[in-house]
Amino acid sequence: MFAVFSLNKIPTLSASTFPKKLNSGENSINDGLKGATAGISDKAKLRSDLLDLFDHNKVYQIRLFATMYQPRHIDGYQIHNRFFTPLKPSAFNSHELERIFKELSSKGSFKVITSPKTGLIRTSDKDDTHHMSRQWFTDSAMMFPLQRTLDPQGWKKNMMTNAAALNHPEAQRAVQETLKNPDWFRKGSVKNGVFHIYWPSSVELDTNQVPKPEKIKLDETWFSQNRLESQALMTLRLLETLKAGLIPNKNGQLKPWGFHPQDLEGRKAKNEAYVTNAIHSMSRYLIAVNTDPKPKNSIFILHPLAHGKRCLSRKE
Amino acid sequence: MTWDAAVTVLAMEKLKKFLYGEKFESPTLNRVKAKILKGNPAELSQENLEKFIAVGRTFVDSRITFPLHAGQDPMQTPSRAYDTSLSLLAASDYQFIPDDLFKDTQLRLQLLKKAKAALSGPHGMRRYNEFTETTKDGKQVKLHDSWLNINQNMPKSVLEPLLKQPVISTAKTHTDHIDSSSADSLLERQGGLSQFKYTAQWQLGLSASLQSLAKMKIALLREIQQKGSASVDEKNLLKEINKESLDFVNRNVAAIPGPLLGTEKLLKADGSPCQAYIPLEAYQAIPDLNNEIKYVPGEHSLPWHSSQLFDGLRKTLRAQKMEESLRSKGLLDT
Repeated sequence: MFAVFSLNKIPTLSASTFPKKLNSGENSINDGLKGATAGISDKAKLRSDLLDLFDHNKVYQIRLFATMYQPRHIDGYQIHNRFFTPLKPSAFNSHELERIFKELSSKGSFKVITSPKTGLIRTSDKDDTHHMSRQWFTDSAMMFPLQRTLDPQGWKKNMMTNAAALNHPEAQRAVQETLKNPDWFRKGSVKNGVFHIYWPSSVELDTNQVPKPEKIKLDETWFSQNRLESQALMTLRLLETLKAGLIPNKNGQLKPWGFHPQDLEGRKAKNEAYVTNAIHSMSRYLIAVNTDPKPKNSIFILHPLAHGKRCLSRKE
Repeated sequence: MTWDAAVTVLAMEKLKKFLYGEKFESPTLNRVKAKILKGNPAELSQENLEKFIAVGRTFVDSRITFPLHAGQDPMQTPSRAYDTSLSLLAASDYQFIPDDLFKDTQLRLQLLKKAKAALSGPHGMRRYNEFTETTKDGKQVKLHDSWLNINQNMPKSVLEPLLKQPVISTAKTHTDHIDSSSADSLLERQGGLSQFKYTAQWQLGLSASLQSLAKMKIALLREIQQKGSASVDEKNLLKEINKESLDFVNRNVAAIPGPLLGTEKLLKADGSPCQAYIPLEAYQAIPDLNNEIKYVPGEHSLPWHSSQLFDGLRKTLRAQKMEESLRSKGLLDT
């Protein structure tokens, strides 16, 4: 049996005992166990003890790193690298800013990794974890400045995929329930609302390379559908992308990252259906949530102020 | 939440302009507009969109514009005045005072500075500060941001001896994120695991603030360019924006990870390798081997932050070039 080590007195660990890749400790231990534990009766216990030891080693490594980690202190700033010295007011000029921008660009600070199939971006360098392999609508929306500049075709695909996701039967059901009775959202369960998160790996394309809404798998474990930021941001971005591709600017140009007619017509007609229905339904949803319900036996009248406040307060 | 309300207003303003404010016509555009308006729902009429936007703006005014005018704190939620979302709001296209660019810029700058003062740490900005919430059984409890807090990546088998007590959580390990922000679940997540003073220091607020400042400066300089001269107030405002821009350029670039003396090989708080130059989501607190608390590169990189930083730096550069051009023409002479 392995004892719990004092965190300040970790024994020397041999390379043969421990996996080299910290992140894949469990797999490496499992692999190692296949040959090394022949004849040992309580393999489950041994495995558990080895994993404990692996955990301790990992924690030791990061605490050792923290012990040696010394950010530089210059002019009141904590600098976490060696390449940057804080600018003085006298050096705040376009020459210096350009130098910094170029250096960061050349070193990969502004890269975007896009799925060629879905246009969705990699949300983190840890997308092998449960938490970071999911996709929030907000993750996509907030990539607007970078992805549309570096990868305009990827941005369009990204928006098409998100539009399809907003046409998922569950999203549309939540819209219909809210339109019928806004209290379904306001006073119902915290799950009553349009979802925010789905699994990019579940996105399937049809023969025309258009995502299939009904195939997209949602993150059923997420606790709340109360926030409105996701749907509002996505409605905004879809409208911006439509405008950029359909309405020429002052110089008569369309943006490469906008939805052009060829992205919406012919074989791509489903894209248009998904984009327009996403804007139509999400706009009505956002308005309904923040507006008085339809008074009985009368025409629809907007009284958003009182309920808007009450509703937003409840959801906070 | 104020940010949710403001971005809803922005979306509806964009929708109104797209449906009713564009003179350009084409068969595709007309068809797209007709499909968005399918069934002609009353709430998407121009009149109703305008009413909705007006009311939404009143709501945002009540939480941002009016309190700031009165020298009070803005409000993201009733229980949480300051939140990184306010930095996102300051960086957005939302106009607090649409008919007065100077006052709008003043207010945006005020919002940014107040959020900076309330949330800043030496390695980034807290998502929010400690706040009081009511649990299901009516108790008032203090909560803080526990995600990526100290010990976030410590397995139970390591953490329990360190804490000298069982980890109070239904999660198997501390890294099993409990997906709830209700007061009860936050309490559970925080049980023995995190402390407000060791809240992670996040980067999104830093890059959003830089975006916001660049946007302000470009708008102000455009106005000055159009008028052909700058008032004393405008010059003072520009000076203040420049001071903050310098600070946020420094804060943002200082937080990009890179090798340091003694730590050529960078690690993140979970023990995984950290890539130099790739902007991080946050810096996380770790007890070192002497039990001193150090902030080290956090668990994840975050392209969303890279996207904001790219936009913020690029626009700061553009704004600076504009300023230098106006100075060369004597438009900003003192």
